[in-house]
Amino acid sequence: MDQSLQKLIAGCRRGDAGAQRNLFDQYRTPLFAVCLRYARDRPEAQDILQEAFLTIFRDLGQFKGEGSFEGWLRKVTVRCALQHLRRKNPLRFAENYDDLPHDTHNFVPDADWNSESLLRMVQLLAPGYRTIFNLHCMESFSYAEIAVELGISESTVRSQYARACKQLRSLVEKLLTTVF
Amino acid sequence: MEDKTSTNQNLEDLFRQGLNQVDSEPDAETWAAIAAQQKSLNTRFKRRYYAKITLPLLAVLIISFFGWQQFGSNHKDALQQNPIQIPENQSQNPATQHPEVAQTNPDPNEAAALTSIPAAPNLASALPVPERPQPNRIRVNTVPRTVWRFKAEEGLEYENPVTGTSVHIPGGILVHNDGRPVTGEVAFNLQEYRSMSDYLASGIPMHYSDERGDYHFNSGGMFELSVRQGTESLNIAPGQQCEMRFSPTHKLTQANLFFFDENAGQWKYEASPAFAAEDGASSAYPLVVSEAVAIRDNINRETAPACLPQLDLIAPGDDNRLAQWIKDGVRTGNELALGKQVIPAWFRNYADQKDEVLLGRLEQSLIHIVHHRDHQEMFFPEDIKGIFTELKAFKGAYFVFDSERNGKMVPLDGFWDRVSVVQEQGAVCTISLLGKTGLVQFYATLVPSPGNEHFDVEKALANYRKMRDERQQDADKNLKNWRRFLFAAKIFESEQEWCMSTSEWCGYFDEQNAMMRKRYGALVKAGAADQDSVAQDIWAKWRRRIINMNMGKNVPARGARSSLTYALRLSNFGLYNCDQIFKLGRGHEMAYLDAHYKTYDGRIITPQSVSVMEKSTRLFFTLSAPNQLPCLPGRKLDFILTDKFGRNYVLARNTYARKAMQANQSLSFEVQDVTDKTGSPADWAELLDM
Repeated sequence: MDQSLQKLIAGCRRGDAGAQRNLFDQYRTPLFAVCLRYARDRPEAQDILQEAFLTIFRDLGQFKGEGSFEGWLRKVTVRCALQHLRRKNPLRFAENYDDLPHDTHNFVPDADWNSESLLRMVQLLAPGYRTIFNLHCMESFSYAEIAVELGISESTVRSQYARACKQLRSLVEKLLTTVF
Repeated sequence: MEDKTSTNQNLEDLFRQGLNQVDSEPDAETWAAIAAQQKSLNTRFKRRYYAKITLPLLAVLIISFFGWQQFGSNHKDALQQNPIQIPENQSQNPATQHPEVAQTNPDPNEAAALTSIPAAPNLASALPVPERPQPNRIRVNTVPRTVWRFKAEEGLEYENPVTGTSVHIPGGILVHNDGRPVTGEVAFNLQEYRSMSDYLASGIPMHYSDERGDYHFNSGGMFELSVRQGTESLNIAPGQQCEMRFSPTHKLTQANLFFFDENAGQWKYEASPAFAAEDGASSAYPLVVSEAVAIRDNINRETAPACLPQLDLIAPGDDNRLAQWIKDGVRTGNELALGKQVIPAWFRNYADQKDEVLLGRLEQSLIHIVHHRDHQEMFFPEDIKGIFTELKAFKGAYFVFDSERNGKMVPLDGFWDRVSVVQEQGAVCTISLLGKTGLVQFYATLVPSPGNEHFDVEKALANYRKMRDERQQDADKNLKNWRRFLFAAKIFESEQEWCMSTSEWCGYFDEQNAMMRKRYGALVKAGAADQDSVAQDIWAKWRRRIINMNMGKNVPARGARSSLTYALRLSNFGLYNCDQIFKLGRGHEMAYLDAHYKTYDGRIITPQSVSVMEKSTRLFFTLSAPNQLPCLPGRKLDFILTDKFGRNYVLARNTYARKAMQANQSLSFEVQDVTDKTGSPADWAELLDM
């Protein structure tokens, strides 16, 4: 960990509002991107970001310098996002979905994609799908880890992930058709 | 067989690449909101940080001071034994005079003054402090100590006017330690312990063991009797007894009498006719009751005044939160009194439940599926009670069951409690219905009703989400305001109002509208709805009032005679208690944790004793093993630790209750050093909101 980061963390831990502002300014963009993926829309993402930074300032002492600091910040943010979603809509994590047949279509993009439109597609997913997609695809959680985290069965995680991918693929195809 | 993982690989790569490039900034208000919430937390961080710096510095200074002291003292001793010989030719030259020579005849007063400086009280964490003697149990309890002088030959008849406890010491029964009869004036001391704060401040152990096992006390009060002549403690002659009528704090089922053996540091059972079993038989062992009986006896105790409101333990730094609650409560009360809002029945009847349960009750309607008259495949979830107002977003539309996606029909007859619609893709939605039979979820397509050509699916679904969120946020906000209203209302209620249930009192509030308008109007005018200082002042006065009432309720009113007294015949002076003994566990074997304690700044604490208090049930006892904490997750127990230096620490009830724990687990707990805030029973009552 470089000295300037150590100094910044030390300042935040001793309650220096200036240091905390600096930390916020430095990392707000990547962490907000994480929040946007988990939220349905921008206001919800901002709520999650607020909770994340309060948690970060409180738990900074737990970062021991092992691994990347930004990686640790992301983990905290993801945890806050999950807590936020759980509080918001507990009904949404029901697991009584029927399995759909898997789609074996191979998808290869042949255009540059606007990141905002991809984000919008993810936000359009149902909250359960969106969470599982983010955890597996973006955070590289295994199905088993996701099952433990969300308190659902691994088979449900697999099926919901497959369903999420199927829906995203349809959205992408729709966008392709519209654009081209 | 095609590898399923590679099917999605390209899609995943696409989204990973794209989403990692999202470059969006939060609004400026986000930081403002974080900073506002972080402000009070930063004060705590700063305090912790500066304590870490100043304590070691002070330690260094003190060590240096005492080191210098010790060096000076050692050197003086050495010089006294081997005084420095100054050669004659140097003694005239001040520059060559050895500095210690002037100190060979130190001023004894100065030396005494230097050695009598006490250790600085707040440095026990930095320096080893010599062991202090056991705390003197004679301190200012709820009921002050009695000292009464009498002539040993004449005896004593004494009655405490506050508690009604009376003592009769017949004349001529007192003897010295060597057995000689006592004559002349003696001093009788009676100290009663009548509240949890008394027990806690006394440091007296509140657990008992015999061949059957370990038990905890549920106390009906303790008393300590002694008679002295000068500094000598006197005794009762063998074969003689004094009589005592002790008024316990409350009626206890199967209480026993115990005597504290000072030498062994343990309680011993004293069989006494006053505590015979209900069937009249005496017992070789103290009778044991269940935890449930102990709690029942505590809760049923007569209190004065009745229905005393309880205070919640305030976490450090939460005073601002309480001021806000009072302001919100007064504001809401005023609006309710003026008819600008109404508290619904579901809240009045279930206000004591948690938010999640209440919101669950709020979201309980009567929903049934209605079909289009001409197109049976079209249906709509009709909300008869109108709770789920967001369904109005689907005006002019119906749903059609998606047989292809669902695979099989799901039964939708009957009534449901809750409904939720989530857009999956385009017009395809997942409908969730929750009822007594469970949760049903299925796909359905949102379609306009026949003839409705202007229906916009996306817009309707977006409206639905918006209206649902607004409804839920509104419910959260209302719930918050109503809770705060009920919380603050107690402060301004009469004692009769305290005894009403929430539902009754809300009805009373409505009936006494003129009085409530006056009450809340005056509070608003005084600034209680918008000024922090006024709200904080209200809270501080309220706390003091409740604590005083709580302490006072353990003492019978002056002149009153309790109908319950224990008539005792005692052969020894000393410390006695009239307690039940019980085992924790509510019918099952108690499990324990291997507990380790440290302060917020990382100091490890090794307690010599641990007291346990449960405010809601008024249980107070000590643990026989300080590091074996009962494993009772979710239960709001306060733990009070005392180390061998006499420092006191608290593991607060909310911290304990929230901790995830399993039997036999080794767990670390953070405790707060409260030594400087506690000394007398009143301090403990204040700190723990007893």
